[in-house]
Amino acid sequence: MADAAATAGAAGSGTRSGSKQSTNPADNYHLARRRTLQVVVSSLLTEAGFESAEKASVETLTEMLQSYISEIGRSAKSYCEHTARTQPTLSDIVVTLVEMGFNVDTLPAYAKRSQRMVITAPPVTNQPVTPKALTAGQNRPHPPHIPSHFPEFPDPHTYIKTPTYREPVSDYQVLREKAASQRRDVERALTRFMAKTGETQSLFKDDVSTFPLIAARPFTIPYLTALLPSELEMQQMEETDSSEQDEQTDTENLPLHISPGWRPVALRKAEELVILRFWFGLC
Amino acid sequence: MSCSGSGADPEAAPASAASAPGPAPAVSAPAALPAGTAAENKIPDAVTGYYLNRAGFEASDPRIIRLISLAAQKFISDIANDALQHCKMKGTASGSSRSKSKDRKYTLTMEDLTPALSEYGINVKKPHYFT
Repeated sequence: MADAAATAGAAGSGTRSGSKQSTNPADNYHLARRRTLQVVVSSLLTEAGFESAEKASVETLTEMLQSYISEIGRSAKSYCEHTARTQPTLSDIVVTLVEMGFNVDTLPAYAKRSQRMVITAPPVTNQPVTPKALTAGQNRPHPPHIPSHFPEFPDPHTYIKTPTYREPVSDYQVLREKAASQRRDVERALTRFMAKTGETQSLFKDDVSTFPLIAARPFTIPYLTALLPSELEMQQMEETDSSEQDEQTDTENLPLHISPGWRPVALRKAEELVILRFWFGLC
Repeated sequence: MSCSGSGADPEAAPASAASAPGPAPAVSAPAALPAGTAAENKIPDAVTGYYLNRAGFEASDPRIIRLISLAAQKFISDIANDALQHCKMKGTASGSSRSKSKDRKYTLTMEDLTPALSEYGINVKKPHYFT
């Protein structure tokens, strides 16, 4: 046991002094504890009376300390399992120490003696905490399948999206104005389009283009349009029938109940349908 | 267990303790347990517990961990004391002035540590240089 510890110490320190690679978090665990053991060894040497020590000797003693603790653990576990138990007891450890050549009787005396040097614990670094002013809202609590030592959920505003809509304007006056201006624009655009593409008549003799009027085509039977219901009127009649049958009040029909007589009579059927579609779109 | 110790007494005592199982080792150990409190131990419980866990030893009682760390401390301090004796012997053997009583600064070197360890049966051979 002792020889194995020495050779392991020699080999370990030999490789360690040659290599200086970067440490990953897994190595940091080992290194942190090893550093603690080094501090302990240094304080024990100081207690013994040494002012300084060679690095190689400190490394040797550190390695020995680590091996000693590991060997005690392994041997005590073996003794305990030898007697068909799983939990090591005090007698297992005492027998282990005796087997390793350690004089157990001197231990209480040593415990009373060693009251000189106390090593302060290394400072505990706190986790970075976001200040109160920056947190917004309550963090979501951990669901039951996540252990409590895991980090908390981030602030809710970082992952929750709440889309907002601007409330549509429902002021009656604004809506009426909008509807009226839209209707006037549509009419103007359409009449200009018809004038530009179709036949035109002009009131002024020399100036044709400034105020074009859509040419009026007289019908062969002029009274036919007065007798037959237009498509618009037929649609109105269908819709009034269906609205009487349904219990719901259909707001779409309200503008239609405004007397259709105040539409200009000169508009053609295609234009009437387009106007009707725009009128529906406003409601 | 090949421990060629120079002290015959420490070897006889464990031999007698091992031959008389039960009461002989158990008498001294409970005395050590209340004496070894956490404040006196240099090695933190977490570090000792970590190395014990790596060896497969799961401690049920924290006092057991403190006992083990105390035993390990004593082990190292015994070796350090032996090395100090070697260092003092080398200093006064050369016949330096007694008034100074050797410089107060003792440095632990491998030349002092090696014979101290060999008495415990640990043979270290450190290379002086890299080839």
